[in-house]
Amino acid sequence: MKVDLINLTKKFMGITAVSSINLDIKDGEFVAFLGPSGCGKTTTLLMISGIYKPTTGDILFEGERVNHFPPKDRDIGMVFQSYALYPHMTVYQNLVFSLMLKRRPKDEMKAEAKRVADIMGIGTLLNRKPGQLSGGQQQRVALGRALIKQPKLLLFDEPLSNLDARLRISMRGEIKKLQNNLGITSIYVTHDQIEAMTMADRIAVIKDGILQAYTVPEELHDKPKTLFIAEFIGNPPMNLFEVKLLSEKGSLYADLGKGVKIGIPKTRTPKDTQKGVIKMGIRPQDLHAGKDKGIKTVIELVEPMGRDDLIVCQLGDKDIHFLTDPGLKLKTGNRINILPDMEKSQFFEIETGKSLLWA
Amino acid sequence: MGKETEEIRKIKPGRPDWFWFLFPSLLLIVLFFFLPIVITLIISGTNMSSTTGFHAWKWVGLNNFRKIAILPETADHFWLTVKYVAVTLAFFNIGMALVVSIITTHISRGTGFFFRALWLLPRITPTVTYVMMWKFLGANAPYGVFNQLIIQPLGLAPQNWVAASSFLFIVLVNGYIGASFGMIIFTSAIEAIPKDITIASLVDGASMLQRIRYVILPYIKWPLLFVTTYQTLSLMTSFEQIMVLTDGQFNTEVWSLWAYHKALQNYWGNFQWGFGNALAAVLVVVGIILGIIYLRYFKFNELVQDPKIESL
Repeated sequence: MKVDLINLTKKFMGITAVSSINLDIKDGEFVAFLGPSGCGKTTTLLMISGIYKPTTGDILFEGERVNHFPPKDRDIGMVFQSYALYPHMTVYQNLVFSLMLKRRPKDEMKAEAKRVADIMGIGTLLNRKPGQLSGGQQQRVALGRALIKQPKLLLFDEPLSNLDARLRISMRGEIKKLQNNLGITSIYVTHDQIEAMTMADRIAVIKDGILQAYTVPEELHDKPKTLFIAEFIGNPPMNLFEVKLLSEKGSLYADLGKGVKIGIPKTRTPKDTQKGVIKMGIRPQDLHAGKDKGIKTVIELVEPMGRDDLIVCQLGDKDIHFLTDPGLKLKTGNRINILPDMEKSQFFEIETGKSLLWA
Repeated sequence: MGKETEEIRKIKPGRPDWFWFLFPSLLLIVLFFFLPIVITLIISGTNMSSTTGFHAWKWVGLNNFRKIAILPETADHFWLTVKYVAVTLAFFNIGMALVVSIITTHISRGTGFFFRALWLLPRITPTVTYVMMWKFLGANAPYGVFNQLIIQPLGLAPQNWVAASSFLFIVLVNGYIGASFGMIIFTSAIEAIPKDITIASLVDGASMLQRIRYVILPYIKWPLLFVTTYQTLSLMTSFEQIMVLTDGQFNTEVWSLWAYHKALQNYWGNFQWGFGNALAAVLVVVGIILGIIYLRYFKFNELVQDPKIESL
């Protein structure tokens, strides 16, 4: 189902929680709302579900304004962080609750319960109470309960946040696959950028109730429009530090202090080169340990992460983190040369946090 | 033998530790709850009255109970009490309490709080003042508010409504006080229902009535048990409002008031302590039986079973 949010705004007693959000969700698309807690992403989701009424602005489903539709008339299924299963009902009763409320025949309820139980792999749990299930099993039941209504829109409110790390990764894949197979338009609220990056077709980054960016994951990662996005997306986080722009003989340099200057390639020339001091960003995977070329420095700390080693050292007078091959067997105190891949560098205006490359 | 072992031995008292731990509350329970029941039962086996005094009384065995069984008015008092407790409980202490708590938790917080505070007024008004207000509401012309404002303007014949609808009045007088107790407990229980559960039920398509039936009531099952049990027992044993309102006239002599009248206040000045205590003893026994039935019916054991720790 196609969903459009138009100037969507929600105020609680004069305090703006969601501020004029505009976005469109295509039929069958998987969209993530990403942002820190309290940013307004769940409020937006609850407006889409019909729990909250927008203060101003519109919500359109298939072009139809649904602002004042109650939740039950919106053809939606919802999955919660707390699972929100009815504790006094069995798994079967939880699954068929929405059908029971509509007084559907017993046979239909049984058939439908079997259908979603097969999809979710919970066929053996039907007679148990939620209290007798593990977190992962409860979340499967909750997903089944959302799916039994054959909704046109699935809403996920941080559904994996209560699960342990390993289960979260496997459920992540499962939800993605399920969404792919069923083709149900989905909105997935999360504060976990990895979840958003791995699952979503498009990500809406929200901060302080304002939509920061709405685009595909790769673009968020490679072309962050704001400092906030640059900081928020990517793991380990991007190195960000203030540099002074220097222009010598027609070439542009970033001065990192202590006499360390790095040349800025033409493709990455910041929009306003007169700025003087700006913020430079470079991801840990875009710095490399060179043999003899590069900037000389000393390793302050090595954090082995298995696939990579995370190295902490100084570049000019800034602390930076970067990833290296554990095969290099770098140790604290080693002298190394660092080669930053400046073709991947980012520049931001300090006052506004706006990108000087993409905004 | 080391000195420490000696010390430890000194600390160990003759009685087990739990005894001293429980002693203060045990003392309270024994002194003010258990002993009165024992004394009630003992006196109910005597013919003690203001005629016999505290010295000339005799044991009469179960005679007082036999007397209760054969007295013609016993059935009247008994059925009146059953009717009074059941009606007040169903319509006010549980029913109205549920209605008020559900409504006030589904409107704005401030308004809800305001209306709940209103419902508390009867409870914090002194009983005599509160009951006198009811008396004047229903009193015969020229005093009765009801007669003056509604009946007479309509051209109908004024009368003493307390006397005319005495049962309704004792239910209303007790119900308006009693409802606030359940209201407070149900309100906090309803507000403790997780928000996600409410949202989930709305998304699942539950109407207000369906949410009450399938979500709210199951969630507040234990508070319901508690309020039902507690309020049944207090309705059975409290009589002060009825005493001030009618003093048992107009067919409102409930069992506990009957016991009070027999034992401590009767027209001829002969206080039948023995007989009155026998009446009270019947209440105690009925109360214990009802309590057990409630706990069984609501499966109280499930409430106290071991917690389940979630395994991932």
